[in-house]
Amino acid sequence: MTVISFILYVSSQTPNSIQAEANLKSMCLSNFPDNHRIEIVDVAQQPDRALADGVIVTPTLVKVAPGPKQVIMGNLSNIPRVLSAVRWDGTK
Amino acid sequence: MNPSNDIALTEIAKALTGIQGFDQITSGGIPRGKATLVTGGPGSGKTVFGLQTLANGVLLWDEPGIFVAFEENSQQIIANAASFGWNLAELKKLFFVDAMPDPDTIAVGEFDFSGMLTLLSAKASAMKARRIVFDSLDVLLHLLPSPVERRREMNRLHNWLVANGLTAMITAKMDWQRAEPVPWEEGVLQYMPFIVDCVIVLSHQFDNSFSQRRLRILKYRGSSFAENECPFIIGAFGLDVAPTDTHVPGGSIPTERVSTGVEPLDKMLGGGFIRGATTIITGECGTAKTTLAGAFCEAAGKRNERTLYIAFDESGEEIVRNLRSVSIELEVYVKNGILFMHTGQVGSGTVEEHLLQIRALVQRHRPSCMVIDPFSAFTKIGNELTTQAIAARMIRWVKSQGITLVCTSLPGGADPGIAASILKIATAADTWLHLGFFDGGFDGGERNRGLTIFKSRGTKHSNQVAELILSDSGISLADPYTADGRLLMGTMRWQKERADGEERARLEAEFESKRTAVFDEVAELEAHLGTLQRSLDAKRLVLHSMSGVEATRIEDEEVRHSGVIRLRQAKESGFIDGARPETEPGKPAVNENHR
Repeated sequence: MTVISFILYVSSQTPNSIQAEANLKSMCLSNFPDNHRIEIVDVAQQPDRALADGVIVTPTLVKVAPGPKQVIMGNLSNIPRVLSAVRWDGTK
Repeated sequence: MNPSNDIALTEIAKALTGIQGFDQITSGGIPRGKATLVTGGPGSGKTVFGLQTLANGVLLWDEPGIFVAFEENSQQIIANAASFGWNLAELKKLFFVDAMPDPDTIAVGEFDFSGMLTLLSAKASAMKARRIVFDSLDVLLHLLPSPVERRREMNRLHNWLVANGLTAMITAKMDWQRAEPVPWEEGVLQYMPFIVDCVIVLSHQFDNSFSQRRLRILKYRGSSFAENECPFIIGAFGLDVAPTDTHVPGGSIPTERVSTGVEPLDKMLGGGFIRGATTIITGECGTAKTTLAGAFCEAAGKRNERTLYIAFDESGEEIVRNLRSVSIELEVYVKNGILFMHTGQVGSGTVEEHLLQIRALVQRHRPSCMVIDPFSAFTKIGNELTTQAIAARMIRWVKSQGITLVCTSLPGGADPGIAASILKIATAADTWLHLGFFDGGFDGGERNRGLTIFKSRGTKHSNQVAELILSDSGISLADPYTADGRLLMGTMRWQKERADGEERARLEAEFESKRTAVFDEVAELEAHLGTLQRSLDAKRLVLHSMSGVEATRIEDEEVRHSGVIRLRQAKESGFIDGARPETEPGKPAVNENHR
């Protein structure tokens, strides 16, 4: 089974970051409950990593696999748009 | 950190940018620990401004810096900076943050810059950064969909800047001239000036198809600043701003004289040019302006003084070669590095570029004497008014460096533009020498060069026009020949001198013969006088001897008389009186006889 993996860059304790984390988790649970991986990177904790990845805004979601890398900024309030952006048709 | 970097007199603390000219017009650079907004159209030099401020901070004052690149990636920036001779990759204390938005990035829902600012805070404290540049803000603001969010994020940035106390520079692409700002600009225009302490506007325009870059300080909280637009260039070493007013430092005004290289001219000027003064030599083509300038350089070379010669009409090599024909040897000084000949290209670049280039040359060669030949080359470039102003500013700047400057120039003649420019330059100059062809030009079938001192500040100078003579042995000045209120030069002078000489000889001969005649007469009279004198003496002798005989006779007579008186006991006086009535005329002898 293909595993979809995400990195979510957040700025701890900011409203948009908290929302994004919640939205991402809920999206994954409902769409790929068994085949997703989420890594949360707090830029305050790992500034060098965030810098290396060129994060400008928070929250920023990066889909690292499968397929090409995709970057989505924002609190992910519109889940269908996120799904279409990561080109995941929902099939397992 | 070097404390001298902080200039805090009565004004706010400032951070030097190290940008030529900019630190002067702001009296110390950008506000320290505060934000400065640098605005301008595309290609106006914002990125270079920021980069130079950071690089100088690291190199000159050991202040670590962060460059946040939104527009280009750091590799591109480092590559571009290499063209200014900055090896940024080697600067360990300069950190680049690649923050170019991925073009494939999409936005879903709200986001903010808190993450970026958080990580920048972490980085800044880790490397003890003192300066930061955001290049450019508009890229960041473009990401935000609504004016409300833009305003919110600008406030966030502001709060972050205040909290971190970094000396920040934020660049933003915008055009203040545009009547209707584009939506994202609106926010920037409305809020940025309140967020930042200093706003700098860079512009790049074309005047008569000549590129003109200008810098203006729109606001500077807590500081005075030069309000005029200042021209600048992006030259070989980055930004170079030409301050509109160069302060000429006070102190001792030199009275030392430096030789003009032409001895009679030194005499006419009361010893030569004043050290550090500016001289303009005007004259038509071929009046030997370059020759005089060359003589000045040769004299400087002999004194072992570094000299910079900026040539526009001919190449430096040609000037050196041509001056050899009048025995002005410059090559030896070019070879030993005392004299630096620079050939300027009038066709390329703006006046500002030329002047800033000259300034760079001055700073590299460090001359004490300088020639710009001809200065009027600048009047061919670009806008007339700016040219005049810049030219006058250039003279002031050279003067502020204590350099003795000689500029040659065409007199302008029929072209009122050039004439006005020259007049402006001449007004700024201390000494104005004019070379002209005299005596109606072709009166004697030749043209002669005459030199006039139009003005010479602080110097007693001759009012006389002198004839300038060029020969194999060099330059000389001849006192001109004045006759019947006319000035004669060259062959005319020679002819007149010769004619006058013949006349003088004739008069002299005439006089000599007259003199001889009178001499003869005098001699004759003297001879005559001698003869007369001798006969006179002889007569006097005779006269004298005659008086002696008479006296003896009278004496004898008196003796005889007294004997008679004694005998007769008569009154002697009456007898004598009666005997000599002529010796006592007031006493007639008859009175005595009546008694």
